[in-house]
Amino acid sequence: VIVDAERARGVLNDLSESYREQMPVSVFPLLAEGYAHVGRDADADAVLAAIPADVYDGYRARARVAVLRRNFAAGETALIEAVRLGPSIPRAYLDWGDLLAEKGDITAALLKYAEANRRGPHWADPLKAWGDVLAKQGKTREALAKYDQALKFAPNWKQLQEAREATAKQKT
Amino acid sequence: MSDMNFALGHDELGLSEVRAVIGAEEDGSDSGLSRSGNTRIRARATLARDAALGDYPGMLASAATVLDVAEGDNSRLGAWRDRIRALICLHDLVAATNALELLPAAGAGAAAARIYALQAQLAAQGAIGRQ
Repeated sequence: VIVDAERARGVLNDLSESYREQMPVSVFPLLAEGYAHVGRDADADAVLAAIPADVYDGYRARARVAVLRRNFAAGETALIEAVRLGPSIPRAYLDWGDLLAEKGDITAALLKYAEANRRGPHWADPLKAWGDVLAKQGKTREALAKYDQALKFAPNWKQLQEAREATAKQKT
Repeated sequence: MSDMNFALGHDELGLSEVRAVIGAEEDGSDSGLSRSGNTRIRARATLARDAALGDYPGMLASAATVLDVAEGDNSRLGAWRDRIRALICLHDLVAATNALELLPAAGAGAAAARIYALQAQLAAQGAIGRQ
């Protein structure tokens, strides 16, 4: 991730101003999260700081990096802003659900997954996340229903197929 | 205009603009464009709406439509990159990798940057399930 994203940043940086403006959207969120995953915190923070304040995915990246650092309050602050900037866009609601699930607030997480699903009814990811939480709760029948819904939209998603298979085995 | 809003990370504004384009088309408003021009604009708007709302099966179908009606190599390459993005978001990493390999090799300039960005997205999806 980091190698490819750094290459893209390098090439874009050599181009015109209009391309440089697009870097914070196309490359920086990936780069920041990549750095955070390998513990390059200063690099992650520098990239996040370079994302303008009106970029929707910038707040998602800030939230996801905050979750990696177990700073849930900072993550929620970023997601509040993402949702304010893009109330109709489902992606931040999924991130919010993931944050809450990581924090252990399962009821609130499920509500966020439902919000993401309402805004993006054909998006498999919130349905899988929803199914994952239900499976962990031992609600295998409900989990399988969510996985089956998700598979209609993303039939070749390997981790989804594996999650469904593992949950189906629990049921039998 | 909506393309620029998405490119700048103003997704809500981009979404409202593409919805307006699709709505005007459905209402039969006269855009002053040729039939083929309308088809292209509608296909692009539908693709952008689907991407914003996580409707990646729809985005994949829209990318095929855009590819069918594209004029010129740049438009066709753009539609192919949209197809790859949709496949990445559908977590279909095998199909996305195969489609990425069919793009011309990364040389220099914006085309190269776009390929590297797609490779980074593909790697991120494989490594951390991110989109």
